[in-house]
Amino acid sequence: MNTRNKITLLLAIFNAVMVLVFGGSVYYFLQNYSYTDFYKRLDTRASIAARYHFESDTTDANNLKALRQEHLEMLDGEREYVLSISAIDSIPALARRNDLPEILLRKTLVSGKERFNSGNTFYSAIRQDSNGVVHLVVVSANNYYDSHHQVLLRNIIGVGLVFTLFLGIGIAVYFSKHVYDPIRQIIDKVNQISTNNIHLRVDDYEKDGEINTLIHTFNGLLDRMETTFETHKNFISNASHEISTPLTSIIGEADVALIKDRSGAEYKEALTNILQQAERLRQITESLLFLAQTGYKENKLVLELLRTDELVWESIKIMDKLIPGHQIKFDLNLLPENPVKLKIMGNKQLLLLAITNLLTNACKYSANKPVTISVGSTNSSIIVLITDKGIGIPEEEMKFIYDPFFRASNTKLYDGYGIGMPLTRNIVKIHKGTLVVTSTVHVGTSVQITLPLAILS
Amino acid sequence: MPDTILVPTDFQVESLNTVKLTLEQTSTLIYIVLVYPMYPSGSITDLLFYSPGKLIRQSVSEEFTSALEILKNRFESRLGGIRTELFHGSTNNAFKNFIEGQGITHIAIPKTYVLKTGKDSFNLLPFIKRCGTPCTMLDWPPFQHHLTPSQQLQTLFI
Repeated sequence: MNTRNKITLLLAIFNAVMVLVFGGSVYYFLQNYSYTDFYKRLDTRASIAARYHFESDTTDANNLKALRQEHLEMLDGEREYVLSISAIDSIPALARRNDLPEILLRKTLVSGKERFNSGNTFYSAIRQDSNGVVHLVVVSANNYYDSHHQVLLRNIIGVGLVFTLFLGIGIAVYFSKHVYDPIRQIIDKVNQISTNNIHLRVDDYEKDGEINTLIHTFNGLLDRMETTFETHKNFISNASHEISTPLTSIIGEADVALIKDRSGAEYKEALTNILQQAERLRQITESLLFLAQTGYKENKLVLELLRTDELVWESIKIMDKLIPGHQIKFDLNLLPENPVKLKIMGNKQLLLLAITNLLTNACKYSANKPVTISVGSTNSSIIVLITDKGIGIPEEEMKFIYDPFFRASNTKLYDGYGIGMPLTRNIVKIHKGTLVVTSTVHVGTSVQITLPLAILS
Repeated sequence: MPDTILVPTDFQVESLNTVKLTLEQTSTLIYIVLVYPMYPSGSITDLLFYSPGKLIRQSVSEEFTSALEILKNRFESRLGGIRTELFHGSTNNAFKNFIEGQGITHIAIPKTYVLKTGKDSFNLLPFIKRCGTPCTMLDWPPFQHHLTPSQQLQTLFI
């Protein structure tokens, strides 16, 4: 059973139970009340009858009789009996003669006042002793209400019940359909989206509400999926381009060298060029391999206790070899006084690689302008900030900087393959840190690495 | 008696540079009181359940807390303590009382950086200029990037 039918059924059952309880209780209490009420009316008549038969003098009796006829309506089949009981034995005969139930007479003799009903006929009896003789005053009538009104009420409630039941089912069906409308719409729309038209999005349904939150969640998911697809597409095209460029020059160089016989010096030059390109090819494949490894080798990482400031000094030493004459300044202004707050658990080689990568970028894209690397520490993490005054990254390209082989549009003049940033991010990620890049074109870029502090026991 | 220095703040990381520069220029133990000027709430229930700690926690960002921690770690030996207070007054006398109550001996304010005033806060500088307590102006180069909240921490590293 699907959810829609379940909702319909639940609503219908709920509705039926409510109506049934309501109708049933109305019927039950009204019936109870009708019995009590009818007996009370009979009681009044019986007591008035008793009074004008036995208690009062003749004038009063006539008055009472007149009053009764004037103000108390004649009930359906109302009859009045005045019986004098001479002996207990005469009761069955009396009962038979007057067509009265014997048990009523017996009970009244004992209790003095009794109510009784057989079928639709109701009785009220009073015992009255006068002048040493025991009398019984009995008033009987048919319960008109019970026979007519009750049936009418039963019919009304019955018909109403069936009617409301059907109405309830109808509303439940409509309601469940209406509630599930937007969800069906979303399902239809999402089903339309495939790899070919992943740019499609689900339209907003209403101003706000849970459905809209769901739609936004879906759209967010689609956004991320689209980016991933794009990255994959870009990766393949960029990777093949990067690899084919040196290959083309190797082939071209070899081709040209083989066209005719050449001198040893010329062959040497051609081979040197080929070697250079092959070296470049090796670098690309190596860094690709490294990128792939840092992507999934999280568990096999060997961690050791490191001091962040030492890491920075060492990477500056590496930079001395890579870019002689760089202007990197280690800013110690916010270095914590307590060396414990500098210790992190990490893989030295990988972290050095990440920091030198960022420093190389900072120097390269700022044409060797001053670069500052600062270290500070909170109570839970180390913050390393690398700031340059370089060309910056265009704002709309910021989201691509971690894509392998992506190079910003303003980097045409600089050498590189676009592996550094994704590699650095992978390294920071496997150290459970975060990387925040802030950049403004022509102003500069700053990269903030946050790494968790080592927990020292 | 160590110096207690009042530093107005707007709960932005950049405003903490005043604290950094103050601490860099001193060699003795000092205490810092960060003050955030805030209009008292007009709601009777807010006033009934008034709690400055809660108000401060609501206004302070994660980066601001981190920045404070960085400063505390950096100046562990010089910084006796740093606490944040709210100032709700609207008159010069109220501010003078506040300074007296907090035991302030000195005030440090930024020179070029403009403290941001949200809809619940106001500018403290006119009070500071008229209160008579010695006041130092500190300056640092303005930050040029447009920053999102998660990028704000770097404004401390100038």
